[in-house]
Amino acid sequence: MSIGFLERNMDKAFDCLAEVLATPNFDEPSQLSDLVKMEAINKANNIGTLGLQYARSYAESGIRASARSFESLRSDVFFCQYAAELLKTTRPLPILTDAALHMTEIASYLFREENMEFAVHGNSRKFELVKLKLEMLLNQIKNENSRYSKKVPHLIGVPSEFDKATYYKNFFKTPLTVNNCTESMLGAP
Amino acid sequence: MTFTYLLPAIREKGGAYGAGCSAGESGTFTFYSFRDPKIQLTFESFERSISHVLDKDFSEQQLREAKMLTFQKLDKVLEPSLKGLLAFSRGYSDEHRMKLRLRALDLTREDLVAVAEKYLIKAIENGRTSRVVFGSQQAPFNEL
Repeated sequence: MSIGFLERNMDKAFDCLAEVLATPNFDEPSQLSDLVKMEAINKANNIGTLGLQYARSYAESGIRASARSFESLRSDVFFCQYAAELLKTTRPLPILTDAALHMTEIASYLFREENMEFAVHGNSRKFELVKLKLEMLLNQIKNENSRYSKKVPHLIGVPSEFDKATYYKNFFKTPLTVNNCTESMLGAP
Repeated sequence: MTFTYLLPAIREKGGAYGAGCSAGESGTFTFYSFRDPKIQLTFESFERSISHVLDKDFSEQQLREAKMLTFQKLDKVLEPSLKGLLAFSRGYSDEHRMKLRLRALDLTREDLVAVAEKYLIKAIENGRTSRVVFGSQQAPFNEL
């Protein structure tokens, strides 16, 4: 997460940060539903222009673990399937409530003491004030999030390197009339 | 490689809208083409472009031009917030950037040939590459 603001807006900026980090509220089903639909339409409309990005990120994702983090095809497919489920049901509320619960749970694990670092790039004369504001923000998160001080070592499960690379040979058929071709390999050890 | 071989072969002769190759931040090297009516010929062109480097089929002038293109990216002015974010999230310092600049500046034709020989052509010869096509349903292809 990053935020940029003018010095005179520091209080408002930290209010925003507190709202997101200390008291994240996902419990707005109609807004969640709108966001899912909008994003699904956006992704569906852009399949034609994003073909190369999908092919490239997929090809690289089996070679380096760090490239796997940027793979976009699987996550977009999952998202569109999720949106389709949401659109076809006459009772979307349980799905959205479930999503809100999961997101709240994920946020409580993400915004923990051992998981957060802050970096400030700005006027050094204001640094003491920013430091104070950050301490206040951390106190607020500590008060709101019961998992704030919890250590969760088992969550660190993503390897920094693959033991063995996976080389994909895939052809994804699309309604396009042209092709986006990629060939990826390990460029450096 | 992009301007001296891939674009003439894949765009001008093959009819694709664009083609190129690049080294990713994650350490991967990728050839690509987009809006391409061909598939098999494109993959053959990727392989031939490496042979092109191995045969030292490029001039000092072309190497200088390639360096200029690289420096367009390396010397791009970063806004302070992005500079801070890169330093913080990826550990890039000004010293790292300077080291990379100097290494890119010192690059010779022999270095390029050595890299192509050591990593690229061996990967292709041993089948250690990923081939992914996001393409047309009507595309005539046998195997990737």
